[in-house]
Amino acid sequence: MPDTPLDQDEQEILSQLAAAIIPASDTYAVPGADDAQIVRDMLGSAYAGLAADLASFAAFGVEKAETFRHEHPMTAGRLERLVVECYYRDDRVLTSLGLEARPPFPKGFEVDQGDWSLLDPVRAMVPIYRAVD
Amino acid sequence: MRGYLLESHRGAATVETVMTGLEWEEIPWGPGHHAAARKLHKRITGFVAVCEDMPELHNTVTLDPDLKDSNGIPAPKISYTLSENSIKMMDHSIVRITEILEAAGATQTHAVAPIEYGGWHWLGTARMGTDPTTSVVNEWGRAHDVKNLFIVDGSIFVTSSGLNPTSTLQAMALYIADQMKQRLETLFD
Repeated sequence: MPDTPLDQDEQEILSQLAAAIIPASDTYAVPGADDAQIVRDMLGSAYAGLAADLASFAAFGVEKAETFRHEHPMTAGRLERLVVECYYRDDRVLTSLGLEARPPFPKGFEVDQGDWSLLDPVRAMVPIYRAVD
Repeated sequence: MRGYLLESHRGAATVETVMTGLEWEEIPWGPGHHAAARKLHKRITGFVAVCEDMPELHNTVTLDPDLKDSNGIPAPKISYTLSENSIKMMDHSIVRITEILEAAGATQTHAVAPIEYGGWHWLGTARMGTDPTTSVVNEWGRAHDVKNLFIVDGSIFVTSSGLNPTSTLQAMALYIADQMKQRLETLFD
């Protein structure tokens, strides 16, 4: 494990939380957010106060994860963001969504072209702005 | 009412889609996560209304009587209440945006007003004007009360403007700098 502000027990709670939010799926052939590689990413992306947020979750336990989510929405929101950000940048997850497993910079991505004729009426309009002198 | 800008957004990227779905409870925790996330993926877009908040005396920034930073400097205390006019503008914009999205084929819409996370434009409190009793800086950015003090930022706005303000801020900075240059000989008179 990389340097982390979490001790072993807290790391275990993080894994339980991650699995509670995003479990593995056979249907979509994707790992859960408690996958070791994804948890390592979360530990490397830990925010100040993460240990306290995890303690708040642990007081409820996995069985009452939904109750925790609704009674502590701000805390749950911070934890969700950490889990979701790390999960949805994992190559296996991106590929399963039909995305290229790479950041957009510097190559960019091809954008699907829409129906540009929708703009024809706009292009045909007389100017609705005041000309600058 | 003065008006507001409608800003359409491109489709949300993956993380933002999932975070939005979680916030709206369209995406659950647990086994239903993947199907719900895929249902929304590449299918979310949105609009923002930037409403022009009017200057109101009940909105103030003062020095907090108790809270201080580590150097003993008082913290700013912000008192802000949405006016009836601003609430009406937001309500109006939500109706218009909903119409636009539904006309574009939206099957579900959500509205959040005012937004909890995101860009609030911090403007006003040292408004520009010619009357020292109702404004802080004159028409070229110099403080009425302190002749060698110029304020060149968003605080000199009179209203919040119903737009993203950066271009106007840049124009104001250029204008005030030019005024200072032209008035060098009498700048502090």
